[in-house]
Amino acid sequence: MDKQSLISALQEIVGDSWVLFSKMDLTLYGYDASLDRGMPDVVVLPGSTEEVASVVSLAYREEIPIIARGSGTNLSGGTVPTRGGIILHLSRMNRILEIDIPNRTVTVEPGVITLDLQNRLLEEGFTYAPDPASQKVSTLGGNVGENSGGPHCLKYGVTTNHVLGAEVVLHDGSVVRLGGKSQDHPGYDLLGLLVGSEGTFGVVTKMILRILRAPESVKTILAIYDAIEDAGNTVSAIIAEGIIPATLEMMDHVVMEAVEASVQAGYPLDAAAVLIIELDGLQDGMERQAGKIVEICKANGVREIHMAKDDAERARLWAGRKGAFGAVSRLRPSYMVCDGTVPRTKLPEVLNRVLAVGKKYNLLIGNVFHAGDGNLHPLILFDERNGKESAAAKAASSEILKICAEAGGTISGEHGIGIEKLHEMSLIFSEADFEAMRKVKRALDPKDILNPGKVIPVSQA
Amino acid sequence: MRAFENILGRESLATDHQTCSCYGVDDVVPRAVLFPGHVEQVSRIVRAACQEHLSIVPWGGGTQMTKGAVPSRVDVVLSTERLSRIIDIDAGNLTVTVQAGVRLFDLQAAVAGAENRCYVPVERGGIESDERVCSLRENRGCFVPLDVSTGNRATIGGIIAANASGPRRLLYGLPRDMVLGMRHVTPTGEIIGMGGKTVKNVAGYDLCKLMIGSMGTLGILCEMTLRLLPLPERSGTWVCMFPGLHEAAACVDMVFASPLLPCAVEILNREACRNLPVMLREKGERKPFGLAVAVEGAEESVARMKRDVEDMADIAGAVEKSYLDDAAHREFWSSFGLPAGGFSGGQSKTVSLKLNYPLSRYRQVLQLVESGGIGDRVPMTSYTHAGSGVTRVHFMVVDDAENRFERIVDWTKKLILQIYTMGGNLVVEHAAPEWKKQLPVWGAPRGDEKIMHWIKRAMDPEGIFSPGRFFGDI
Repeated sequence: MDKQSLISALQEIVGDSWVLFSKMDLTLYGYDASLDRGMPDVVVLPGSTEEVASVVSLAYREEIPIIARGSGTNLSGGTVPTRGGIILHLSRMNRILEIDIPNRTVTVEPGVITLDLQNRLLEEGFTYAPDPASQKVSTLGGNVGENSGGPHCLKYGVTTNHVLGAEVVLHDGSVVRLGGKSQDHPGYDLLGLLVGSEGTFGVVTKMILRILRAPESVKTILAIYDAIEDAGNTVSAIIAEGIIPATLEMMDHVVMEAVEASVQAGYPLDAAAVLIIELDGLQDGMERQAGKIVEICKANGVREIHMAKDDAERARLWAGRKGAFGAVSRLRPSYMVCDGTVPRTKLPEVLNRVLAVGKKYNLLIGNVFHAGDGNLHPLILFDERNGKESAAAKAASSEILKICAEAGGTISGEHGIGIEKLHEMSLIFSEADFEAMRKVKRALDPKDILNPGKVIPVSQA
Repeated sequence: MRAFENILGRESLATDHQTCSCYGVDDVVPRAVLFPGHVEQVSRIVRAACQEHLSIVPWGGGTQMTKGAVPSRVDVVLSTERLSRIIDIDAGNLTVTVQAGVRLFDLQAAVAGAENRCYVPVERGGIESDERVCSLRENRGCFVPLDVSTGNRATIGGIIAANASGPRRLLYGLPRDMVLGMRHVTPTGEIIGMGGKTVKNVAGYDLCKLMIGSMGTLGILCEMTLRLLPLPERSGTWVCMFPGLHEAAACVDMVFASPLLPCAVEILNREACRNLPVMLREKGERKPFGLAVAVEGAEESVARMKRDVEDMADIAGAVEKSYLDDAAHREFWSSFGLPAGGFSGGQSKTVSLKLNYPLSRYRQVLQLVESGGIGDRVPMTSYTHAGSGVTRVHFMVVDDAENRFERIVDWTKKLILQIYTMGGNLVVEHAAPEWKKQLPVWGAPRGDEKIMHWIKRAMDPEGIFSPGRFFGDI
């Protein structure tokens, strides 16, 4: 099918105004929050499940790659159209269809912005737990595609632990429902397989998510350190003590400086690192648990400890953390973020090795991450226009992921593989492991049209 | 069989009728029972079976073997009995890695560490002190938040493969929320590793999820890494008696409307109450209902919940209450939820159903279950995990003189439609093989069944892993 007939066929399905194909539009849909670039043939903005099904079924017939996406905040090139094809932008499908408090569920379309749902639920005294830092922009469909995490996932689990059901358009354009409002369903856990499959198994057009009652009480602690090792040791000690706070976030001085210049969250500029520790739940016993945490901080060389006095102060502390990735662009034009995750006992050791990598390649590395999960996010800062520096950044990133793999960890905790981390997949998987994944991919997408070339490296055979 | 003997040696293989008949799956008796001692042996067994087109059914403690449809063939049973090593207790990272054949209670004892208050009532057999356990901690003991009533026999591999859960899933979640990594052997004999020791992992497809609950049809689970949680400081359970469902449900609704975080909220019918280790008086003419509310956690929050739940029970009209502290609480829940008199003792035969539905419908479901008139003719126990949308119903059929079984079949078929309309489903978890053939073992078919067939065909094209046992004849 030539490009003009494809465009006409798509216009027929969704209407003229929802098909984009100007040079500028195609360029704008050629990238996401990673460093990779591509160019689609056409962009479609469907308005309903039926329209999505028709577009996918057209793509299946004509064997055209189809890449579903939301706001494109993913950090691994998962939505970059490397083989051209159709970009399916789901932003128009952004309705919260039902808030069902008695059943503790919400039903949403994939284009709903994560924070919009969270704010709406707070009005009812409920929460949707996964809270990726990009929640102001990211969509719930994207969160499901990437199995997104966030600070509160330490206690509450990642996206996959909160998805109960989905309506999915399969490779051939057929529509199926997985799961539902009830928690158990006979058969294979297809939802578990779907969440985090980066759009390679189907296009989600509706989701049923689990919601929780907002905690009775919240306590937020800022712990300030003169040495990053001390902060790392504190994290390991808190987990080893058997305390699982709601969040346990770390930020080093590189990131704090950038954040302070951008949002004035009140972080100390002369400190080496801070921890943001949040407790939530019943108020009974919280004082004692906070006391225990303070003790552990002190045993590990903390300089100062602040408790957030009110909601405003708490919000300010979090605004700094959530805006961190954006703020570092004040330091250098580009950043590459590694998402390596390690067993929590290995955190201090791995942090040191990450710092050494920065020295070795003469690159500035900022650290802002979900420490309690062992989920590092070293931000390697550089200038994309400088070829030598870009190459060094890529090499440093690869080396950091190798360090994480060696420590018994993994190369991605929450950002996904996309295309950016394909090369490093062999650090943790064998060819037999890949073949098992390929079998599933082939079973669910025999013509390889759903976001092709992502997640699993091409077969060596 | 010669090939298996070459792999295992004579002593780890049984072909005699006496042994084989103990490993019959729904009375389908295997020709051999194999006892591999390590993962590589499992892989070689599967390769050999593949060549000979022999079907394999994995077997842990045998507690979940009545689940599923009658298998179409069982050539060999692969027992995980000798895969019983606890590989790594990393209390500092709050993870544990075990082989499939480790029994849940043994694991609980091991991860309780030097603590003298294991999560389940067993003799402490575990590690006295271990440098891997953080030295800072006063309460170093941990537990695995899996919850099955047969944990003294059930193995980790079996629990995960059957996706078994119990009342405390309310707070701690399901096996899918606890499994971090897994090594399994595929139907072509490959050893596949997925996930690991990190609590977050999105590298590659989440094939662990596909394995959990796959009932031995996609892979033989050999090793698993699970989350650990620190042992709760205190725990306790209120067991209350209410004059009727209306009053019990009023209490349940109050609990869920509050900020309290109980770990189990369980509604019991009269038969189920009689099965409890706690004696509760019955009052009045109506059909009484029991309620058990369990709390675990920090001392202060357990004290608060104890207080608040008692108030709620009083307001809702409880006629009797009894509070079980720590040790009694552990005893209470460790064998909770079994049918009166256990499964299939003597002449009696048990039919067990698991109903699942959107959680707000529990009252309606209980009315359907209790008012069908069937409980008057056949003794029936029902346990409802309120807050999770699950009800388990056990029938005891002592003799079948009055066609009681026929009634159960008719009733189940009617019930399944009603539950399905609510957005739920029904699974037969236990029934005699000859009865299973008449019952909808895996409930009403669903639209996603075709995808399951695609996956099964792709992973097990020869159909040698547990053929016929699963959903949709998989």
